[in-house]
Amino acid sequence: MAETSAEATRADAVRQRAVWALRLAVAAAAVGVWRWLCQLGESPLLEWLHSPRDVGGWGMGEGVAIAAQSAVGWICLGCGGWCLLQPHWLPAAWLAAVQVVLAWAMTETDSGFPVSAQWLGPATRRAFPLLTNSLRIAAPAVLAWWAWRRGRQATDHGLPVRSRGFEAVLRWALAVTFAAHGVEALQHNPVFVDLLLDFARRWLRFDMPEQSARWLLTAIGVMDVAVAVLCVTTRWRGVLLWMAAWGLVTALSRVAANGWFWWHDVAVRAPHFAVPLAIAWLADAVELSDEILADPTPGAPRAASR
Amino acid sequence: MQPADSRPLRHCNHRRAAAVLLVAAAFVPVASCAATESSDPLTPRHWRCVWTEDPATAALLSWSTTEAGQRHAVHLKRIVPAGAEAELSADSVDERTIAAQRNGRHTGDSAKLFYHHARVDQLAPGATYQVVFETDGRRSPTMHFTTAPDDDRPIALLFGADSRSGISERQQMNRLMARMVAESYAAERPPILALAHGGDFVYDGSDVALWSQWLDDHEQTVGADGRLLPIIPARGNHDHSGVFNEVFGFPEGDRNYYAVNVGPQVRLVTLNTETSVAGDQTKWLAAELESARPHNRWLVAQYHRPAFPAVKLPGRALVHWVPLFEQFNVDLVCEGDGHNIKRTPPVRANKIDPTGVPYIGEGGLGVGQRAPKPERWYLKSPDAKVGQDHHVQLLQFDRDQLSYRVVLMSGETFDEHAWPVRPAAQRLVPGDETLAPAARAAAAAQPQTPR
Repeated sequence: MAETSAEATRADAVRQRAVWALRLAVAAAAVGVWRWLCQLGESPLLEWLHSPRDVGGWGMGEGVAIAAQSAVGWICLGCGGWCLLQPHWLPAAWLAAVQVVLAWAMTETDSGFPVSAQWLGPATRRAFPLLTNSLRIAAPAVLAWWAWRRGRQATDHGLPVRSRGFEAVLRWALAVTFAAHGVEALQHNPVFVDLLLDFARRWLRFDMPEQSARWLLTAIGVMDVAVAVLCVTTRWRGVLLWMAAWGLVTALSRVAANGWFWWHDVAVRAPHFAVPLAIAWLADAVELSDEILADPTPGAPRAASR
Repeated sequence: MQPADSRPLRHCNHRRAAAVLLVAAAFVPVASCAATESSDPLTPRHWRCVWTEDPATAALLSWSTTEAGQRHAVHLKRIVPAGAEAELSADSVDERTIAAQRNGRHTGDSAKLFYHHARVDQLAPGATYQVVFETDGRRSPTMHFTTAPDDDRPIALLFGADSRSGISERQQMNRLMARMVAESYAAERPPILALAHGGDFVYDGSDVALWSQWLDDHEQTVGADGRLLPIIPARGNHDHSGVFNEVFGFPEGDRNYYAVNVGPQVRLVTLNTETSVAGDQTKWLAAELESARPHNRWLVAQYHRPAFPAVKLPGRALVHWVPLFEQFNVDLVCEGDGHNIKRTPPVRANKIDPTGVPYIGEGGLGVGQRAPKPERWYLKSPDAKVGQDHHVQLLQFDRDQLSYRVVLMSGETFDEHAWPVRPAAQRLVPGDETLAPAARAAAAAQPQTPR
């Protein structure tokens, strides 16, 4: 019995790590969104609010649109702090909703990556930002779900035992995000090309030919799509660790190439490197919990998955 | 609706032709009234003249039909000015029919529209050509356009951007431009040769229906006398997808940066902020500016996302192109995207510097206007001028100065300014040996005076 209790404690500790990774990622992304909306001021949200109705906008006056955007940004900052200090479903749900709105604003204002895929049809193509931003949406959404469930279905340890649902949602969102970015890389998104060229020039003192950057992007695109597939078809821990490392590298590339002014670009991408770690820990917790559930008595054989 | 003069163009004596054309020019129907009213899917519409090569001797003449059709051609004939008949030899009579070299259906399924492009070359500089577009026997109204001159006469260009929304305003701006062009020829001012469009033609560049609407509206830039306003297009962030290249006759996959001379001393460099800025384009720009600077009194650039924005954040042009503009002393840079009116003082090394490069534009050909931020260091009065209203910018180039005027939709002038020609020293490229020794010596002796 003591062994089972130790396993449960270990599962909780691992799960706590996962939740902390989520909380930090959500809070960091909220700070990034706040800077984007309130300090820099220019965002697809503003354009959407200000655009006339005949092109899908809200037709707001510029002053009203700026005020609305600013209000959203400040609320995001408050919600980010709230999630960090004391997770609650309400602020996390707000942050998830804002991320959906931002992605939709990119769609409505045509400011996302214009993916070239005629066979998809215009409506699907325009929804592409929802795919690239899926992890930024899923991280606060799962945190909200977790906080809501914790309130209703607490275990002895104050945490829900089963984490499989959280893990599955995050895993799919991570895969979709990587796959969508992989498609952008395969289609040589000019922003990515310039990130590589500027990074090489600034840090490696190397004038990389544009064609080399394009070849590199093709390789990166293939890799992104491959790990996205592996992410949902296997439970290899190495895949998640690679995704976390690559997510960190690509987020930091914004400041590495363009300077610290663009630090919010790193902050809003915090889920890209924190969530793979959270998934890895959640997967551990799931396996530990499965063992506990499958094997309540001490001395029984361990589950096959171990 | 058929135009009054829709007869086939035939070979004839050039004097007789001139007389006929002069009469015809006086009575041609108002071109802007015609083709879109026709329900015949093969009637040519969306007539346009595009300048992306040498505007003195070549042009792309393009039109659309709603069905594919089979035979597409333009009929071209040089108009001889009254009194000039005797000066022109029989060889100068240029009358030909050019089959469209490129025809196809626009990519995308939001609307069925077919493009037709006829590239015409070996045109005479500074000459006016009558043009009729034809598909399967259906003809457009008779129109005309004028090629860029090869002599150093004063000329003018219009610069505008952001016609992607505000349809009614866009149409009004197009009619305003047509009037401005007509006046520039009638009043013997520097003729307005073309419209440099800084991008964001439509809201969603992959939507053919939106392009069709824009092209319908663009017909309103055709003057009452049938004069086509050539367009020099730059790609904006809303103009994504291959439709842009199809509309303006660029090769498939073309990256839309190029330079043209709209006069022997006026070089316009068009850049593309929507493809890689840091790579091949910047290398091309450096080579282009280095080769063009010594040979052109006026060196102007246009592109979409601003380096010195009046509202938004600086684009990648700030890091990659501005140093080149300053190195090669570009005379004027035209930008779009911000939806306001902007004129900065000359800027060099992130400071106001009389020898620097001024930035104008930000786009007002229809799109709703935004409030500029005059507190930015390069927008502070009295060195700069900012505002918000639908507008187009008139640039007049002569031997001594580059004049700039912002014309609002009402026809009023919002801002006027002039930049004197740069001292010769600022138009030299280190190591350049192409200028005459006397000019180099004069340039070397001249201090780097403020412009």
